[in-house]
Amino acid sequence: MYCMQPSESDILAQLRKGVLEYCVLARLARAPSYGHQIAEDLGRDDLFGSQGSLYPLLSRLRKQGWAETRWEESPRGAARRYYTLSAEGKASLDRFTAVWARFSGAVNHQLEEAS
Amino acid sequence: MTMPTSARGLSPVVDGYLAELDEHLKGLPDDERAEILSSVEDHIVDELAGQTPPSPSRVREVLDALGPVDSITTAIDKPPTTGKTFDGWWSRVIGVLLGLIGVFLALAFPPIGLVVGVVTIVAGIFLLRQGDRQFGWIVVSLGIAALIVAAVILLTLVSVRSGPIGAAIG
Repeated sequence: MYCMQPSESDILAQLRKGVLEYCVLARLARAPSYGHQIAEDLGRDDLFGSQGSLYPLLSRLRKQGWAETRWEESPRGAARRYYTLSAEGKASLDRFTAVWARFSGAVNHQLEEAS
Repeated sequence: MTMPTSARGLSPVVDGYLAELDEHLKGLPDDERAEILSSVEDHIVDELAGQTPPSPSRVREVLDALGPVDSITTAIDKPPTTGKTFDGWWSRVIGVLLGLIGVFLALAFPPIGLVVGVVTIVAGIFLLRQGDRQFGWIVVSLGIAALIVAAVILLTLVSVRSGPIGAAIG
């Protein structure tokens, strides 16, 4: 039976789906930030396929109540929308962190056993 | 040097990109649409800071990194992760009942069974989209079963009414 092998980018795209929002929350837990700065930080770690996909996610996090926004002056004059982690967002991040520790440990264990 | 505060007018390519994005965002609530659009616009301004006018190659580079407008709107379509588990038990009950009724109707009144079968499949797809794989597939299977039963009975009735099968082939 013909079975197409997923490419590295396919695998990466699948893995990003469930974790990107928590990476954004983790970034906000470090310090409030604005879109472009978050895009640069997470982009360096190759955490999303295209930077543009970050912006609907930020909007969604705000609507879910996991992030809050405030306006701050920027060096270029216009006000910037800063995102901060809300208490609910922090609770979600803490839950994810606990689950992720177990999950990644289990995956690593299986991969180590296989190699 | 004064930095631009808006991406509009920086480059016709940027203007086109933002116009296309704005068009794709239609249908979203106004505040969400404005938030995404202004965030993307700010991102472009930040990336192109220090270049007035920006070089076409730099503009292309920035827009390529943002990704096609489709990739932004695709990200919107993903259901938000609320942390809640799917608890639509009523959807399951309705879906399974619909499927069972569909199979019964397929036997008793095949044309109606056919319609109910299609509705059941749609209900099953709804459950699958909600992440309820187990019941989703059960409901889809019931819908397909209703469709097959109804189709077989209808075809049999048609062939019987139109005379012996051998005569029909001949």
